[in-house]
Amino acid sequence: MEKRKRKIVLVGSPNVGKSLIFHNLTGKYATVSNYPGTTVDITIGDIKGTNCILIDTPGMYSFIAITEEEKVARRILFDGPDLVIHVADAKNLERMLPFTLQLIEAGFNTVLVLNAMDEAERLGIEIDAEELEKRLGIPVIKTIATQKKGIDELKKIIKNGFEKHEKELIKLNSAIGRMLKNVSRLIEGEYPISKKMISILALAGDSETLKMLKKERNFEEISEIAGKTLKSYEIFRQIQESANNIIDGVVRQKEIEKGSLRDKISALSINPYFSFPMALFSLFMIYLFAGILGAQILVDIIESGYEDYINVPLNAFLTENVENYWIRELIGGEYGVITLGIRYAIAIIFPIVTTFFIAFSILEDSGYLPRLAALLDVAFKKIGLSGRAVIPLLLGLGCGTMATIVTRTLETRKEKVITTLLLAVGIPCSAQLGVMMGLAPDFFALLIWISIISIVMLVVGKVASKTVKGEDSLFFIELPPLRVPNISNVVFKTVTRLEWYFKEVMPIFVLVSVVIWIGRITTMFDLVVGALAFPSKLIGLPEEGGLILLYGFFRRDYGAAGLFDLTSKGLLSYSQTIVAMVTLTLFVPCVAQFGVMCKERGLKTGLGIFLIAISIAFSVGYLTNLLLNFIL
Amino acid sequence: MKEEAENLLKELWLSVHEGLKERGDINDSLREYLLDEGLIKFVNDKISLTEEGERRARKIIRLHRLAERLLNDVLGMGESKIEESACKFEHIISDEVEEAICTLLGHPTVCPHGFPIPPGNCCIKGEREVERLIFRLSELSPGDEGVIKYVVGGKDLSNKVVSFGLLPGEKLKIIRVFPTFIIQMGNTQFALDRDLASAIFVLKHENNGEKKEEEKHGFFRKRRRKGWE
Ligand SMILES: Nc1nc2c(ncn2[C@@H]2O[C@H](COP(=O)(O)OP(=O)(O)OP(=O)(O)O)[C@@H](O)[C@H]2O)c(=O)[nH]1
Ligand SMILES: [Zn+2]
Ligand SMILES: [Zn+2]
Repeated sequence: MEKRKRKIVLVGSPNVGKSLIFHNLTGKYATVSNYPGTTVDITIGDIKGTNCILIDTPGMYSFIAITEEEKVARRILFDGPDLVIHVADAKNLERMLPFTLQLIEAGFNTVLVLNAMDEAERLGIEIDAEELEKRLGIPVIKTIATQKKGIDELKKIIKNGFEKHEKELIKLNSAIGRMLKNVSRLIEGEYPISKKMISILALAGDSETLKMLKKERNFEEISEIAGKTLKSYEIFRQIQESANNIIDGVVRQKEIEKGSLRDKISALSINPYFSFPMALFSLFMIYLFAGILGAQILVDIIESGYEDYINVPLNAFLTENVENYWIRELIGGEYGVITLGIRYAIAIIFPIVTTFFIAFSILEDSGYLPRLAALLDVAFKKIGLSGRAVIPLLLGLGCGTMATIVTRTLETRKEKVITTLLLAVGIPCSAQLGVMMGLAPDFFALLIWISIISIVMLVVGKVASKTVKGEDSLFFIELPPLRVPNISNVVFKTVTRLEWYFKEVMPIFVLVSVVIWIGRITTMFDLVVGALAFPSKLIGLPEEGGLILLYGFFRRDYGAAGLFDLTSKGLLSYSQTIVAMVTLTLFVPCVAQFGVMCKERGLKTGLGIFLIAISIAFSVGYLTNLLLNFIL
Repeated sequence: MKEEAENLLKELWLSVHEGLKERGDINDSLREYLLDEGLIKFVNDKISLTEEGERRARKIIRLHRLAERLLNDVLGMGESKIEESACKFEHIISDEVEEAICTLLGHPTVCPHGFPIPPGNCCIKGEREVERLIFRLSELSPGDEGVIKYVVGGKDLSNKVVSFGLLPGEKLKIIRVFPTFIIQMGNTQFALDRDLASAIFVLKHENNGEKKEEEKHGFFRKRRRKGWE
């Protein structure tokens, strides 16, 4: 009989290195980046050489769960793991320990991992792990995940288990202590965590806990005690005090020299007079990398190579060997799976997306993004968002679908809806962006395009912030230390993202070719293109514009690539190119993004956003055309 | 007599407004006294506060909780001592002293136990002339240091703040106030917006304000001297 696998969970605050430790233990990659909230979902892997599965969870600060991904993490805990590994940032032990105490008091088999010891040492912090072990009654392990230090020791503990010493770690006094006793006396049911911790959560007014307690016989009384005042603050203060008492004498701070180069750069990075130009500069670097190197140089090389070495010989081969026209057209010709679908994916999308993801990964790992979020918070508040939204929006420049998933890290519904809307309406994805940049006839056209898109985004954001209901979000973000990006991590992350991207993209590209093929056989294709030709003409584009819009729906980048084809054939005039760029950028999100939108925000909101995007695209396209005819 | 009567008013008020159990025993002379003063009334044999009684009771609660804040946040007294002293305090503070203390504390809205402090006139007017010790984080300037004392806001807000680790007793230093607030706690910096910053009350450490002044002047002095040469 096969033994049940032991379930081990990694938890801890955002950005403490959970994902890296997960990678070290399982060999499997979970997204690692230097900003809080990278992991929005759980990742599961086997720990090599053991009969355990390991779960990487999104960051959580404490048992009180606020954002969705914190709730995800907590649900895993309530699922009853065999072992909980609390990963803590060694240089901030004081702030981390309360959660350790909560985990232990909740009754979990807990191991405390003090990660990033290298940074703690650099700050002159010394931690007496043995003493801490004694005081907590659980194993405490120091690690440096980036150098794989301490991982073996951790593995040993996982394999061999350990003896836990029961201790009362959270001491609540006075009124709160009495209330706690009262509440826990009233609770009768069995819960995945200890009665003490359930009571503490109930007293702190945690809504999910109270929901869980609903079936209690004494629920009325419990919720009456719990609902009376704002006790959570006092409870957590006392937990912090308990933690401080435990730490006392365990952590020592040595004198160190201040004002290293790193400190200076860090100080500069939050100085608005410096960081604003720096933000523009980093955007410019992304542009250089993804827009010029990716979208122009690499695309040119691969495109022409593909044309010369695949399309031409393939078509020649088909004409010679395949009699049936339609079969020839399925594979080759103008719209074939290989000549169109796979060519788009490999020759146009691949270089752009790759270069963008590399640039973004470097930015992510440097720790600059949270600083950018802090810089932009005030401006974002004007459109109903908080600075945190900068991360999904920027990622949206890479892939809108991925970015829509990342909106989970945002706190309020309002913020999520507005960000999803902006991603759907105005944020062009990297492929689209790259093609647009390569496509723009000159700088002036690019400028018009950027201005129109920015204005539309601002207006949409402003209107949405007034109409979307819900509370405004508060902005709070930890600024992680600036770190030199680790090359292997950047590569690894880019590869993982690419893998994800292609798993999603390739089939759709092939499918679209097939759908077009079927459409052409049945003449449905002509019908739809014909129908779309009307709005296309309305906004001043040639009839073929309808075709691009249709492509655009299957995938935005697909549409962009189609547009690229069209202009290189010289079918579009100067102003038509701009109109097409604007309309296609604002046009509906691609099928994949639309799907994710509906999944994350609900069908109704998803559909709503879809319709809004279409209307905006056409009306702005129309206005742009008028404007251009007027000024040119 | 007065103290005993006030305690009774307090209990009646708490039972109405915060649902605490009231004490049963009232001796006759106390009842006479309160009835005479027009502070309580009997309706169907049930004792309740008159309008005047209500006003007085609210005031006593307010004084008690303000006193708790003062003793806890500024004087750093222990739990047991606080209760004892606050109970004496509440009976002797005059109106002016009350307003001064409240302003000094930055018009707090909850006591250290998390119970609401009924606002007074000074809170509504948001007075400032007394030299303050406790500030909203949003009122501090770069270089200021202090200790978090409490957070004001609904349950959601305080839960959030708690889970971020912005707890009473945590030391912090203001790094920047523009475009967002950036604070240093322990070895990490955090950015937070104005709304959050104005919900956090901080006991400011004294000497730092002066030091900052000096630095500023120092800078200009140097510049000026250069100009004269
Ligand atoms: N210097 C140093 N950096 C580390 C160490 N461990 C992790 N990091 C870095 O810390 C950052 C965050 O690591 P992640 O593994 O993504 O953290 P996480 O806890 O999974 O973060 P979330 O998924 O956002 O909750 C990355 O830039 C890592 O390279 C360490 O031991 N030393
Ligand atoms: Zn109190
Ligand atoms: Zn006041």
